[in-house]
Amino acid sequence: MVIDMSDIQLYLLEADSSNKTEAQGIATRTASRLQQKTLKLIDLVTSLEPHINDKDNGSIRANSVAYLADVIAALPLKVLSVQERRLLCDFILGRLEGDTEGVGASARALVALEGLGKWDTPTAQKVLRAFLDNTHPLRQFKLQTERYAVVQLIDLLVAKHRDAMRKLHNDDHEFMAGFISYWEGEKDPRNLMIIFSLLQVPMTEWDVHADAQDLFDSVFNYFPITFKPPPDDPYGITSQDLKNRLRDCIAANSDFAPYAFPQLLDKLDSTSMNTKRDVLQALQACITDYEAKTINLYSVTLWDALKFEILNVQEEDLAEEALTSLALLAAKFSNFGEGPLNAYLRPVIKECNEHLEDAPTKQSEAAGRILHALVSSAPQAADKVSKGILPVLFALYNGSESITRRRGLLEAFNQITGGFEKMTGEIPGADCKALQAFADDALAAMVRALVSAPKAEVSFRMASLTGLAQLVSVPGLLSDKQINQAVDTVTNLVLHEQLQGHGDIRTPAIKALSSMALNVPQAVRDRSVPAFMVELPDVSEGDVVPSTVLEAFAQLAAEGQIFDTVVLRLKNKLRSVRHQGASLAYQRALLFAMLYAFTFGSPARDDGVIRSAYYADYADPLTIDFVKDVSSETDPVAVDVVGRIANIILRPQSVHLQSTVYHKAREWLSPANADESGASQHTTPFLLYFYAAMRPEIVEAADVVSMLKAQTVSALSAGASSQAVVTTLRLVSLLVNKFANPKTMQATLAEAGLDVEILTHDSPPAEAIQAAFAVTKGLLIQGKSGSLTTRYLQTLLDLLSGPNSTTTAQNFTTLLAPDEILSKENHCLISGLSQQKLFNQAIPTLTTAIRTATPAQKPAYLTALTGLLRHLPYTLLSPSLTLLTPPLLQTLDLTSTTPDQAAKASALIIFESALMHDAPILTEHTSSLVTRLLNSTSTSANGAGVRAKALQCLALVPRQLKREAVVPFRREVVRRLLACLDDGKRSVRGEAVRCRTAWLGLDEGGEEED
Amino acid sequence: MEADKDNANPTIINPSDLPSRRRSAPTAKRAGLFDALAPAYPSLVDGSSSPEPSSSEASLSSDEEPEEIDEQEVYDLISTISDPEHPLSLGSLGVVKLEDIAILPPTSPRSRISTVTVLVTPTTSACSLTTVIGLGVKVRLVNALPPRFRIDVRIKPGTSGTAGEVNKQLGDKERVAAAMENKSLLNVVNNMLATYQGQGALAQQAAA
Repeated sequence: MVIDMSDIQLYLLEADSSNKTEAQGIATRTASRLQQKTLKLIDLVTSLEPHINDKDNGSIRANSVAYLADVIAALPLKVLSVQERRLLCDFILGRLEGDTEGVGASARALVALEGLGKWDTPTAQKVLRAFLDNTHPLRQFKLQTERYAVVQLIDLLVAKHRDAMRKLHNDDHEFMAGFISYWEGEKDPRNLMIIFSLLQVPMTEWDVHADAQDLFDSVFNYFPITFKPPPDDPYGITSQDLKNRLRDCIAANSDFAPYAFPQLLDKLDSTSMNTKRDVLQALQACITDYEAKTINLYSVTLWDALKFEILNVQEEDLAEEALTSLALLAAKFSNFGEGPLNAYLRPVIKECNEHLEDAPTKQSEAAGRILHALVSSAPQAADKVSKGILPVLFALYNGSESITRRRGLLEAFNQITGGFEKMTGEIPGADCKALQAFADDALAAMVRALVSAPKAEVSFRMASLTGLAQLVSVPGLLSDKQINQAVDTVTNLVLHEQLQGHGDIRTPAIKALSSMALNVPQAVRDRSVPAFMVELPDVSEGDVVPSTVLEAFAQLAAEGQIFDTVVLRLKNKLRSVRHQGASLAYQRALLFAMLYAFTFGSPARDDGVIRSAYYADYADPLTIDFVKDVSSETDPVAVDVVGRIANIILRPQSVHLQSTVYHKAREWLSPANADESGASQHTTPFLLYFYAAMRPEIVEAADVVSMLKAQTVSALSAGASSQAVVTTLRLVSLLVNKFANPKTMQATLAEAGLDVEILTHDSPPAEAIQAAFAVTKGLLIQGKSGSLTTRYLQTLLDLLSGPNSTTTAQNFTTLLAPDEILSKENHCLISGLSQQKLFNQAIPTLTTAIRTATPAQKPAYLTALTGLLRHLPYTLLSPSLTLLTPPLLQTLDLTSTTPDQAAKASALIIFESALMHDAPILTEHTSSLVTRLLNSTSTSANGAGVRAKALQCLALVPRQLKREAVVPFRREVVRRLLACLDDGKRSVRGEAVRCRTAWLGLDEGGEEED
Repeated sequence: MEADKDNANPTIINPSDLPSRRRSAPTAKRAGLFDALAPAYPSLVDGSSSPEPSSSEASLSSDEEPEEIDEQEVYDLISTISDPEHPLSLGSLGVVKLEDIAILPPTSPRSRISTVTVLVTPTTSACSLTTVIGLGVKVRLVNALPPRFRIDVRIKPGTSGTAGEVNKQLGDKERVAAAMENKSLLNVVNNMLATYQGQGALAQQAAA
């Protein structure tokens, strides 16, 4: 029997048991039989007959259609003739008249058929007609997938048969009503996405004037979209997707305006911020897309509604959106005609002028923002706004004696200039005559404020300074004379204002001058630079250094336009100052200024690399003057600074250039030469930065060993200054990290006398311990010599139980302490895993040792532990918090020596992070934590930094730990914090207030629950 | 919706015109721009990186020059309290002013008790929330100043129609305590006080 079953019967069996894949396999088989002509289409249709017309069972009828759809979908092109396709089409449409079971499958079948050969106009129209006539409204079908198939079919019709569909509408004025109501009640987001998209075709392409309201209402019913996708939604439709499509529909046709604007503005009064957000975005879309002549009818209404969002800000982003909307309106009319623009701007200007009369108020500030938005929108709007506002603004300004009023007015004026700056940035060469007409007034007012207003009028003078910079930044606005006046005024402020702290106007003035250097470099070069030079004498009297002038001058280098001028003037000044024998302090200050310029300024670059010519022009001569050809004593600070300038220029340069520089410098840098003259020590800071700049392949292996040897000698020699020692040790770490070959590392180190095991053998001196740490640090960060590093580290850990444990413990923090010299920019080998490796190896050893240590040994272990943890990111130590908490708590019990303070501080920083991120783990320690934090606030044993940090941690306790764990301590904490309110340090008192507020706040939660 | 406020469009003082410690205390030694560029020698002992050890990490000796509680500190405590009807601070509305704060030393050598007097200026003479503002100021100071200070908060003479009544209430310990029992009043006051940023924050605001 089974053998005799036809494909349709098999398909129905599988479909009945929901075996979709098997069923489709059967349909595919049928399709290939049709293709191989072993089955005729007519026989296939006949075989369907009994099932597709099954009177008693709708699902059999539906599955039969599905079978047909699957077969057609599996057919390749050109199997079916035109007649056969027409026959199938008629067959499917004919069925719909009497039976809508399997409507989704019918739609799928039709989509597949259309794919086999494009329909002619009558067929396409017939298909749509059949669906509208027989399946209206679509919501009668409960299955989303069925409706989805129909939606897809109609989407296809509308997209591919645009003319045919439009003709349906043109020929039958009843058509549209049916088409609109067909979708009514659809709620599924997947279907809506397509419906919103297909509706845009009639909305934008058809003449729908008569049906505009119905068409608009059919989509606006969905506004605002409140859809929230379910978690792990497989379809990935977001609420924003729907909002965007809906917004496109609302803005699709100017004929919607009479319905869209009133309804949207009505919803703008909503109490929901999200609704307001959607309304403002829809309004912007409408303003952008509707025709100007339509919007013209609503411009004043829109202004009246939108202004409230700006005058009474509820949410800042809503105000921003409202401002954007106002600007879009202005831009729209600017390209349309005088009349509408005037009609729109007239009430705006009138109201803004009214607000300016009361300046400075919340609303005058809002008026400034509105003016800014309008001016930046388009040249025409900018012109009209300026003509409407500026005469009033300056009349008010001149008519008022109040500096506060004047400040408010200037701020509004600055908003207008700012708008011009933005607008001319987008439309270069745009007309700014209307602003130009008042440039003289503005300039005079601002210069007067800066020159003669009382210095205590901080905000007034600040507004004037901002204004000057903005005026200069609008291209073509000021005449050369006016520009010079602005530049002179600001230069004078920079050079001669002395007020420090509050009311300091120099700092912003320097920024303003920098921005002027961008916009009018020539004026700054011609007027400011000479003025600065006058203030920099060649001879300084005593130790007086014109440092404020130098600082300001160096900051001008931030602007690439005048960088070269600045550094050249500094170099020449340094030369003449040296010539005149000026003080060391003055020379240093000039060097610092150059370093500042090269570090933070904008030197010229070739292909992103700082121009190599700077090396020959600056680094080389400075090296000769301050490092190489120094007969008597060198200045260590100068050597260091010159080294850094050389480093900045040299390190990104090509191998070729570096190699040339290196071989030229090799002669006088080589340790052999230095040993004779004994000058080696003095050049070490330069060497450090010079070698840091070099690519590893430049330096020869023999040089590395001799350099390491020389550094070992200086590192181990007792009695050197601590600064010299630190520099030497950094150089050791650098050389080990970058230049020593990892394969022969131990041999190299042994030859240089730097084998850690030998260095630390048999109660070593402090110098040897430090050197051992420097070597280990270089290796650890490099990460290439794993087993050697592990051995060395263990050696260092073993020292903690020896006689020199305190020195050793204090050195542990150096292993991970960040050092700018060991960086990728300096071509060092930086392993990403060094922190993790060190943590894994050292922390278990240390925590175990702390548990068993004698009271005398314990401080060393705690110091080493917190020293290591200090430079580790919290995420790394977070998983081991349970293990670390007891020793960290013990650290807080340490006494008051300086290294203990550092240990305490780093323990407190970890507790702060732990309270933020892992509070539950600390809950069991609440009592000891609270007690120790309170003890850490006492002045007798703790520095101000520790006290403040302890209070910060303590303030987190009631917020982060469970209420019931904390409440028992409330009374005690609140009482003991009274003493902290009287702490000698103001910053500690501030923390105490915050902390006490947090603990006092605990009570209220409780009372509310009662 | 703004109409029911007593003063819907108050004058706002620009943050850079508010008193701050940076103005009142002339810094003894200016921090130079180039200080950060001076050669740094990471100390092997405390891990700090600084040319002069005293400037960064706290060491106990140089640390403890006491800084007395002064008017500016009291101002910083109360000027950041937010107004109950505007999302603005009492300082920027001019409700509390530095010149209306006075600290009086102990009256006799045997007494340790100093007095802090604060005069509050309502935004309008008919401001119905004057009492609440006064309460907020009082509660903040009682909680934030050490107990050796007596707190006296009053309405500035001639600035409010109800000054007498309000002063009476603010001066009466028991009535203050009773007011703080009132849940809704307590909520208003707590919302006002939720904004303490402490010294330094104000200066940052001004810089922004």
